[in-house]
Amino acid sequence: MIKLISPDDIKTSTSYLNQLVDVIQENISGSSTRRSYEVFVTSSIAGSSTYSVTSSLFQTVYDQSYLLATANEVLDMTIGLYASSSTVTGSSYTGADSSGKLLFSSQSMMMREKVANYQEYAQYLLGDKSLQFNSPFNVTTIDATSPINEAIFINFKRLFARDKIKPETFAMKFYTTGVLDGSPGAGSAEKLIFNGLTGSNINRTSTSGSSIFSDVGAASSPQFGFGGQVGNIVNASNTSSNVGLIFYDQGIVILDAKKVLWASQHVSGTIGAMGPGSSAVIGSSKGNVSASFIPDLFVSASVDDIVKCIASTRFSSGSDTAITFQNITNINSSLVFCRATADEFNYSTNPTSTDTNGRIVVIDPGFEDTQRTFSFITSVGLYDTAGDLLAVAKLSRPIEKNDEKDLTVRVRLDF
Amino acid sequence: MAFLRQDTNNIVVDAVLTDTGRAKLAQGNFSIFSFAFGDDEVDYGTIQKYGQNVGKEKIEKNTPVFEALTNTNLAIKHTLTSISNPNQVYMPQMTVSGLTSGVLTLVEGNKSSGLTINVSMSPVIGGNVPSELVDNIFIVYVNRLFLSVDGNRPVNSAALSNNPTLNTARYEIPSSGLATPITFIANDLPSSVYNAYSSFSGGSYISTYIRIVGRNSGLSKEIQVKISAT
Repeated sequence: MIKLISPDDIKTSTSYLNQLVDVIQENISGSSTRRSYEVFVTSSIAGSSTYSVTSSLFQTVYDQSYLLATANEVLDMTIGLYASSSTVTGSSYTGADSSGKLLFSSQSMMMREKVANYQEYAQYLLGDKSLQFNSPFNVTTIDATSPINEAIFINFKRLFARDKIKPETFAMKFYTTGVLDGSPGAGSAEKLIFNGLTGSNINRTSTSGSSIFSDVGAASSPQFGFGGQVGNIVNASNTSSNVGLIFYDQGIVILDAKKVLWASQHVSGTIGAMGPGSSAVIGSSKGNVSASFIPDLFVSASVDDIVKCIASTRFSSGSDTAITFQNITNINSSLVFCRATADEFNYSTNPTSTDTNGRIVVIDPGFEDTQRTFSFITSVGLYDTAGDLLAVAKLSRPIEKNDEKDLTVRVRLDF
Repeated sequence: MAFLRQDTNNIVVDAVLTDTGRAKLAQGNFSIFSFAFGDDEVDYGTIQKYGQNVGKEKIEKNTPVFEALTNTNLAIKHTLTSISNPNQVYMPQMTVSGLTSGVLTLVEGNKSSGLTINVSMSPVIGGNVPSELVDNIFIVYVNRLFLSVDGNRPVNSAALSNNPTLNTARYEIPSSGLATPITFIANDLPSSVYNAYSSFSGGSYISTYIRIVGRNSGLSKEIQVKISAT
């Protein structure tokens, strides 16, 4: 038997759910859990030789090997350069053509793509592709340190960011220092180091120099921009040190590479390049012996090489948490009040409720005049006008219904 | 389906959408109009065995409840019902005649071999069928892959045509008094389909079930159908 539901017995409410998300170091650093999409190809011909470099525009981090069907995409990571930054307009920049296309020397790699990346984020989050991100976001006086010229972008997938990231729950452990490679041509701190790593620190996991970056204070001082709510990412041990931004509604983190990396640290290692073997060894006697992470690596390396360097070395490689945050899922609920008066639903069509003669078994023989029937409720079905069963709810245990008891079951439907 | 935890005494329950509910939500046609209570897990024979006091306690505490099913046709089989006479001791029973050993046997693709069963409500001992339980409509669920009801069109034909994976056709057959005839016809099946579904029986027959539910009474009957090849 179905009973009609009064419109007054259907209410709506809104609530939210928080989930804690931990991104494990190994998932970011591991090669089997980080996927590249080689969509960019460049090549050149020198004599009879052809050199080519392929690269992604971003890489995706998974929670297990991306070859497994059960793997979930956790985040995307890429980098970008502000068009007017000295890294872009530095030595490799040779001007722009008549249509405005930026031109660079062949020692650089994917410069237009890096600038386009930055502009896409600026257009999406700031409303104008020519604008520049600043850290802190609402900086009153733009000084030399507030603009983000070289950005590391981390986009959390919707599966994990859900409706938005909860403010003041974000934290990440990041190694600002790369492995010291002891190049004789590097800065003063490294000149005296001879540890056998010269020419190879680009893909070696950092062992020291980690910092915790978080969005401390974001909940108490909310900021809003074109791209929704924004928080400042600061160094947890020195909260006046702003190192990036987090766009909560978009699930996007922007780190100022110059602040989260030891920018002038010597870098060395093999990168894709338009030369013999389609590669070059940066920071060695074979080329640019005094190369630093910024600007040299960010100019000379492909997006793939840079993202690989950051992801594989700066998040360590253990089972500890590299990034954590809580997400918010907004839940819209319909509450349906299913009311049974004392005289309703006291009989059952369950075959066990009657014997072969149709006699109701819950009434003891001989007590027909004094005992009344009763039933037990274990489930509630919600139907539409066509009589189609739209939703089913189950009680945690059978609830007795008899003629001395009225009952209201509140059924919640979440959307 | 797993069991639900019993350590809460909360009567606020979360519902899950059935497959039909999801389809209607996608179509923008989701509107709740009525409800019913079910008691599929309950064995009322416990009351007979242990008496009312202990029996009730055993049902309440020793009957784990299954999680909700999303299959519309399986989610709630037995519903609770209301009768205005509080002293009703006997319930009517649905009876089906025309079966052979409780089974309906058909030949596939042979319309003339369709079989008619008669559905009726047996009068209760010592009285009439309570007026609330007199069915004016019998709802018949069949697997449309194999069966159809002669002379009738499924009431959910629109949903069936929109969703090829939906196989349960629902017919509404008006009651014709004491015994309501319903004629079932086995579809003409491609040999590959017949062979696939009859392989468990060595190719001798396809087994499927039809379900008949009284609209007002909620009483139901499940009947096995065996479909043999022509």
